[in-house]
Amino acid sequence: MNKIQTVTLLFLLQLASVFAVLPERMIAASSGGHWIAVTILFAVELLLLWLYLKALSLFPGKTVVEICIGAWGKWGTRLAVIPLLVFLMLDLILLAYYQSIEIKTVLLQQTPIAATSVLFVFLCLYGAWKGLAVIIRASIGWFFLFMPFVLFSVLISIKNFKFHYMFPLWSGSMSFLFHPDFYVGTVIFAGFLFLGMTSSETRIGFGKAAGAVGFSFVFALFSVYIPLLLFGQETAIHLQYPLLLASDTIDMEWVVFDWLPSFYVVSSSALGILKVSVLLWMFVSLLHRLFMPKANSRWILSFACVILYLSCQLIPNIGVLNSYLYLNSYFCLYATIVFPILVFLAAQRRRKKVSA
Amino acid sequence: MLRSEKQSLQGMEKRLYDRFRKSSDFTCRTVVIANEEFRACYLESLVNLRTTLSTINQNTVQPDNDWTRQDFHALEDEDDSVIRLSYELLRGNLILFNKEDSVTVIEPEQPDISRSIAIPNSENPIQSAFDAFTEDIDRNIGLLRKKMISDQLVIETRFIGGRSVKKLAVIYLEGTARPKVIESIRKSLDENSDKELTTARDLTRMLGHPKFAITPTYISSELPTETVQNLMNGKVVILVDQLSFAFAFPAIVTDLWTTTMDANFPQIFQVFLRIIRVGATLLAVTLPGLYVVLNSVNPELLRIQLAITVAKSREGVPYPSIIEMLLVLLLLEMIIEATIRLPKNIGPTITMIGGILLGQAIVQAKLVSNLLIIILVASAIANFAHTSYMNAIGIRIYKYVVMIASSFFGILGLEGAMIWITLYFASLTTCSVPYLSLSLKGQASDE
Amino acid sequence: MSVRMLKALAAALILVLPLVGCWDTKDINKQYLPAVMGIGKGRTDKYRVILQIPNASGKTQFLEKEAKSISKAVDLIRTDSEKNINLVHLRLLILDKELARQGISNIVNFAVRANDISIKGMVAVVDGDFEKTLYHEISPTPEVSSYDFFSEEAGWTPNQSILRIWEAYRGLNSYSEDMAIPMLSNGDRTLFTFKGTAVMREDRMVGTLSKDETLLYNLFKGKYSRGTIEVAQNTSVMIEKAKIKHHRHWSDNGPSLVTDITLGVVIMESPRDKKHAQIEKEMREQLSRQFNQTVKKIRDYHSDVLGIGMIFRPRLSERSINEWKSKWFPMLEQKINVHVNILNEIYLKDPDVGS
Repeated sequence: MNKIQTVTLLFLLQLASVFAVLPERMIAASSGGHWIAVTILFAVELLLLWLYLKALSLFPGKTVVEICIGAWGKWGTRLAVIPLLVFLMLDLILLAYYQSIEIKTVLLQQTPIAATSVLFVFLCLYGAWKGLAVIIRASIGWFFLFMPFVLFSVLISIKNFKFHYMFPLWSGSMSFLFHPDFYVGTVIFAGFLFLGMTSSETRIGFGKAAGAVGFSFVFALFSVYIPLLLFGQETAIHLQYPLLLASDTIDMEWVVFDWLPSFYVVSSSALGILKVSVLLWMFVSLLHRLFMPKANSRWILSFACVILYLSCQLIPNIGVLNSYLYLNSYFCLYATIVFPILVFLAAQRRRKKVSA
Repeated sequence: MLRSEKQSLQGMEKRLYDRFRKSSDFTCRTVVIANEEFRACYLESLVNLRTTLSTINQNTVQPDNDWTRQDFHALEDEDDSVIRLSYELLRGNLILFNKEDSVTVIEPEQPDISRSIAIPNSENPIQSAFDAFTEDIDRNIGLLRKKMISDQLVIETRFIGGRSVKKLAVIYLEGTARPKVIESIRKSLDENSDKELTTARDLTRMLGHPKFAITPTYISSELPTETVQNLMNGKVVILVDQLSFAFAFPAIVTDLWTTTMDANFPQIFQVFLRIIRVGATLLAVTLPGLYVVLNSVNPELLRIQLAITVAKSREGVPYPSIIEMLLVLLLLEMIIEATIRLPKNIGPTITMIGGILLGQAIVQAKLVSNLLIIILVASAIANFAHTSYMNAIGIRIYKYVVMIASSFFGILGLEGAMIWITLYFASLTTCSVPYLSLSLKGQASDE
Repeated sequence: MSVRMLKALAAALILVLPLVGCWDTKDINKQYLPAVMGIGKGRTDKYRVILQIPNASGKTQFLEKEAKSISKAVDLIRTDSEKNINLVHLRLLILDKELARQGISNIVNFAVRANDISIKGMVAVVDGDFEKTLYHEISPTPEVSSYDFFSEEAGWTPNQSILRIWEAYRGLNSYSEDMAIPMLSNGDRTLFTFKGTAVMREDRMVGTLSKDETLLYNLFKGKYSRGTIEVAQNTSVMIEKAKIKHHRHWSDNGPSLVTDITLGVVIMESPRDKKHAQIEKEMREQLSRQFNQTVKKIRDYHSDVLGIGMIFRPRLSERSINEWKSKWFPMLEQKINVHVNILNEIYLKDPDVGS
C-alpha cells in the first residue's frame, strides 16, 4: 500500500458522493450562481480536512479513536462517536437504497429491489470483509475500469451545451444556506473520515489530500453545471437524476453503444459500492474497537449487512428516502464538522498533556 | 570376534535386502577393485556398474591414487544407518562394504536416463535463446549459471519429502529479490519440509498459497532465458528435480500480460503488444457476458441498426441466450481440450471438424445465432492472446461467472463480477506480495 | 468455524437466486423494437398510437391502438402483439398537427418520464395526412431510414430543423426560449418530405416557418453547415461558414437586438459575367429583407423560437428572466444585418478580376 492509492481512494469516495447527491441537491437548493454553493461546500471541507489531518499528524501512527481515548478516556470517546455511528449507518442505508433505485430505474426495470440489493450488499460485504487495505488496493483497479466511463458519459455531452444557461452567475442572496437540500450535500465530506483510521504508512499529508479534494471539486462543478448547461435551471429542477439524463442527450454514431445512461449508472454504482464498503468497514471497526471488543468483527460486519439489506427493503419510496436524507443531514453535520473539530481539540489537549 | 563382524556385515546386507525386498533391481554382488574384494550394493536401474568399476580401476592404477584413502567408516549396526544407506541407494549411489566391515558410498557412473538439452516443447520463443530446461536439476542449475554470470545469484538447495525425497533449489538474485519474499518462502519450505513434492500444486500448497486461486500464483517457464529475466525482475525461482519447469514466485497482475520475451523487442513494440494483451484479457472475460447482456437483458445498449440485425440472427433460436452460450462454450472448451493432447498432425483435423463444420452446421440448424459464433470465436482468440496457458485457464473459468451474473442482472451483473474480481485480486497476497503490484523489485510501489 | 458457516450461508443464498428467476431476461428476438411512434388524435379516444417496427429484411410492421393515454395505448398494443414491445429504441416521435395545436406538454412529459424511452429521440409534426404519413412505406429502404432522415451523419441538411425530446422538454420549461418542431409529410419516392418548421409557444403550435425561413432558425441555433441559397435568377451560393454577432441594448422601451450575420459563401452557379460584388449586393439585400420578415413573423407569433432570451440571459437578473416571455419579449426590437463574403468560386476566377 502506498500513498497514491490512498489519495485515489479519497478522490473516488469524493466522486461517489458528488455523483450521488450533488447535482440534484445543489440545483434544488439554489436558483442561480450554483458555483457559490459548491465552492462554499468544498472550502468548508478543506478547512475540516486540514484540522483533521493536523490532529492526526501530531500523533503519527495513531488512529482518531486512539487519540480521542487518550484525551477523554473511553466513555468520552464513545459519546463522541455514537452520532458518527448513527450517521454512518443511516448514510449506508440511504446510499444503498439510492443506488438500488437508480439501478432499477435505468438498468433493470422488472427486477425487484430485493434482488439487486442482494448483489449490491454482497459486494460491499465482500469488500468490507477483506478490509480497508484491500479496498484501497482495489480502488486503483476500479479507477482504471470505471473512470473512463465516468469521464466519457460526463464529458461527451459537452456537444449539446448552451452556455447561456450558466447565467445568472451571481444570485445576490445566499438563500441556499437556509435550504435543507444544501445540507444534504454535506455528505460529500464523509469521504475523508476514513483517513483517520488507516495505518500510519498510508497516511497522506494535507497537500495530497487537498489535491484530491481539489480535483474532485472540478468534477463537482462539472456534475452541477452539465445538467444546468444542457437543460437550464428551470428544467433541471424537475429532474430526479439530472446528470443521468444529461448523459442520455448524446446521439453520436461513433459511440459503440447506444444507451449511455446505463454506463453512467454502472460507473456511479461502482463508486457507490466503493463508498458503502469503506463506510461499512469504518462502522464495523469503530463498533468493534469501542463497543464490542470481544465480538468477532466479521460477525458484526455480517450483522450490519443484514440490517443494511433489510432496511433497504423497508424504505417504501423515494419520498421517505428524502425525509431520511434531511434527518441524516443533522448527523452528517455532526460527523463531518463537529467530529473533526473534536479530534483536533483532542489532539491539542493531548499534546499539552504530554508536553506539560 | 570375526564371527560377529561377519554377522554384522551380513546383517546389514540382509537388512538392506529386507528393505528392498520388493524391488527387483536391488543387487548385491562381490566386486574386485584394486585387488581387493568388496561387496557392492546398488540399484541396477540407476547404476552402470561396469563403467563405474572400470573408472575406479583406472584411477587405482595411477600412482598417487587415493582409492585407499577413500573414506571408509565403520559400520554401525543401527536403524539409522540402514535408513541412511537405503536413501543413498535410492539416490542412485553405490555402496561398498569391505572386509574390515566398513562402508563407503561412492557416486557411480549412471546409465544415461536423462534427456539432453533440447528446444522447448510447450513454449514458442521468438527471437530468443532456444535451449530449454530438462528434468535433471543440476543440469538446469548449470543452465542458469551459464546464462547469468553473477556472484549475486544465490542457489540454495534442499531436500524435501516424506516418503520420497526431492531435490529442490531456491534461486534468487541477492539485492534484487525482496528479502521479505525470500524469507516467507524459506519459512514455509522449512515448515513443510516433510510433505510430498511431486507436482507444481504440491509446491504451491507447501508455500501456503490459497487453495482455490483462480489465477496462478506462480509463473512456470521452460526457458532458462525467461527464468533469468524473472530473476532479474525480482522473482524467486524454485527448481524441482525431475520437473522440467522453473517456477517463479510470486506472480503479480502484470504477469497476465507481460512476458519477459518482450524485452527483446523495441520499446514501442512492447507497449503495443502489452496493450493488446490487456485488451484481450478484458475482452476474454467480458465478451460472453456482454453477449448475454445485450441479447437478453439490456438490448437497449445495442445501436438500433445492430439490434435489428441481432434480433434477426436469433430469430428461430429456441433457447434463451445463456443456454445457447453455455452449450456452445462447452463444445468449444472440449475442442480446446481435445486439441491440446492430440498429436500435432491430428490436431488440425479436429480444429477443422469442430470449428468449421460444426460451427457452420450449428448455425444453419438454427441452434444458435450467427453473432454468438462470432462472439465466441473472438473471446476464444482473446483468451489465447495471453502470455501463458496457465493464465488463460483462470480467465476461461472466470468468464462463466461473468456470464451467469450477467444473465441475472444484465450489465449490473457484469459490473458486479468485474468489481468482485478486482476485490479478489486486491485481496490475493502470495509470498507477502499483494497480487496487484506492478513490480517486485526492491520496495517498489504497488500498482 | 464461523467464517466457514458464513461462507456456506452466502453460497446457499446465491443458489437461491436462480430459483427466483431472471426478471429482466427477455431475449432480443422475443421483442419488438419500434423505432417510430406516431401519436395522433384518435377517432374514438383521445390518442391514437401507431408504432413502426422495422425488421432486418427491410419491411416495416405497423401496430396501432387508441386509448385515453399513450401508455395505455402501448399497453393495448402489447396485449395483442405476439412479442413484447420494448420502446428503448424509439427514435422518432411523430405528432399530429392537431395535437400540436392543442398542446404537447402531456406527450413530452410522458416521453421524458418513461424510463424506457430515450430522451435523445426526435420529435416531428405531421403536416398533412397523419395516417398516410405514418403508414407510408417505400420498399427498398434500409430498416431505419426514418431515423436516418434526421441524423446529422446521414440525411440531415441545414434546411431542416431538429428537435429532440429533451430539447422539447427544455422548451416547455425554459423561461428564455421556445421550441420549433420540424414538420413532415409523406414523400412520393422518399419516406418523408420536409415541410417547414412548426413554431411553438410554450407547448402549443402557433405558426409555421417555411423551408427557407428555417434557415434563419438554424443560423441562430448555430447549425449551418453547407446549405445552398438561391439568390437571384441562375445564381446560387453555398454557405461555408456563418458568423453571428449580437449587439444587445436595453433601453427604457425594453430590449433591442441588432444581429450581424456574416456569411462566408462559395458560388455554385451564376451567369457568366456576373460580378462578385453584384452577387454580394443582391444576396445581402435579399437575405436582409427575408430575415427581417421572418423575424417580424416570429414576433407576431409571440414565440421566442430563436432563443433571443438566451442572448439576453447574461444581462438579466433572475426576476427578469422569469418575466422574459411575458413582459420583455413582446417589447423586443430586432433587426438583422446581413454581410456576405464570397470566399471563392471553386475552380473559376472572379470575372471582375480576370478582365
